[in-house]
Amino acid sequence: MRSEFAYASPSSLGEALEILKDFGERTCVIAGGTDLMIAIREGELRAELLVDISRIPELRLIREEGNQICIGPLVTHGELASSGLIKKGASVLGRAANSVGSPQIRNMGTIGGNIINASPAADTIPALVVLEAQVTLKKREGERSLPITDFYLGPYKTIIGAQELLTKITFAKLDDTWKSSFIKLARRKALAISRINIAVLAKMDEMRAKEVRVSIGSSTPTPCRMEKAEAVLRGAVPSAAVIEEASRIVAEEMVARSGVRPSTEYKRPAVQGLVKKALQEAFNIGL
Amino acid sequence: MKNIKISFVINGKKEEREIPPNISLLKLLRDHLGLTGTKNGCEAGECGACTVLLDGRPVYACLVLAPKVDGKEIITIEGIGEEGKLHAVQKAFLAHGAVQCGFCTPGMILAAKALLDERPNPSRKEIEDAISGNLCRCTGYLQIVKAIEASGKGGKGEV
Ligand SMILES: Cc1cc2nc3c(=O)[nH]c(=O)nc-3n(C[C@H](O)[C@H](O)[C@H](O)COP(=O)(O)OP(=O)(O)OC[C@H]3O[C@@H](n4cnc5c(N)ncnc54)[C@H](O)[C@@H]3O)c2cc1C
Ligand code: FES
Ligand code: FES
Repeated sequence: MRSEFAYASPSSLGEALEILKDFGERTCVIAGGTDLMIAIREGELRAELLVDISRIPELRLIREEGNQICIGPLVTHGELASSGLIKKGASVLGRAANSVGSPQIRNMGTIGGNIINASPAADTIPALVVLEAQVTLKKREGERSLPITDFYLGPYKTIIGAQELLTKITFAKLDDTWKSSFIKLARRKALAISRINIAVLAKMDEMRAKEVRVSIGSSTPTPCRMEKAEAVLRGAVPSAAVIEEASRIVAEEMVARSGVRPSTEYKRPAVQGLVKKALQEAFNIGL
Repeated sequence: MKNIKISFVINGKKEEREIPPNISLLKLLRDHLGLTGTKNGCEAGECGACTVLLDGRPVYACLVLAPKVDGKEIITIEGIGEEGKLHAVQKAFLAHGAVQCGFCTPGMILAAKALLDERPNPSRKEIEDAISGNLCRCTGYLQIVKAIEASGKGGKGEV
């Protein structure tokens, strides 16, 4: 039995927030629907009122504000992957978005849905973590912004309230002293929800890595940075040996943070190999 | 559950329907409009048999909530040729043996059409990417890729 609900399609943000204010817990927001349609088909969606936010134009934009890039939650993975601004100022996010599902999924699936659905396998999340992105949540009474790493409570759990909408994702634009890579290990390239993905950013100062940021999806209970490994790389001249060492530390850190679960043993060598590849790609060595 | 009224353009024709708000575009097409050329393979976004064009872009009809098409334009396999005349991509599929059981074909052709509308002469890699969300259990893909390649060259299907 499919889920049953009433349907509202507000055309402005104000109207949407009004509806969420009045019906709160009884509502569910739908953006592209690629995650929700399966729940609806299975009869798992329990909301009385489905609020379709896809007709709110102000939530669809990718903008530059000073040195910040500001992304509306309705921007699709396809739009992110083909945006010149993202390619130039945050290519790691463009590549993450381009790895999502298939062209059809990328045409409907949104960055907002990816963030809020909070799947441990979500591809844009590690990219947003290394970009140190802030998310903005808004309800009728006001808004709050917080780092994306403070947004998650666990797999499929976030701190968003029933009356809130995710309205904005922002981060500083990167200049070309930053190198990056995004790699994912999946069963099949298209369609497979990623099992492990990794995003790397490195700010170079001549030969040295001045700052390095690493985040791995599907490996830790909540999205986070791999700080010990980052410390090993910071200030180093990237070499095969340093990369080897950092990869080993990332795998250890992953095990420590996730607690030893049945999948951990399978994941450890996979993580180590993938980190190595991602770092080699970011630093452009040993390929 | 209260029905809602939506209007949309399907294969160039304006339509209006009253529908339950919880159905998919796939169900709207097959059960309410009788357009059964769009296939139901998995209803989970995994096979691509239900691929249609929504405002020119390929999407999985099984993952689109039907009310979302209000005010939009949809193209299905029924809408891409003219009366009695196949579209160039359809001709190329036949000429290259890219159709066996045919179940994946409507979705493949629409994914290919979306690519060719944007890039009339796509590279092999672009073709492979464009159909990466469409499964075919019969052909092994090579004939399909070749057919799309041929429809690209000069846009005439080279038959
Ligand atoms: C076949 C298939 C393959 C997939 N492959 C991948 C993959 O490779 N990588 C990957 O990361 N994901 C993948 N996904 C998952 C999905 O496509 C993405 O998570 C997508 O980004 C979800 O966006 P959406 O707009 O479709 O979300 P929806 O289904 O509309 O919503 C998802 C959740 O977010 C909430 N929500 C959405 N927008 C907002 C907002 N602005 N404010 C508050 N709440 C909001 C909804 O209430 C819902 O709980 C796949 C899904 C399918 C079906
Ligand atoms: S039926 Fe929609 S993707 Fe399989
Ligand atoms: S021809 Fe049979 S699935 Fe493609």
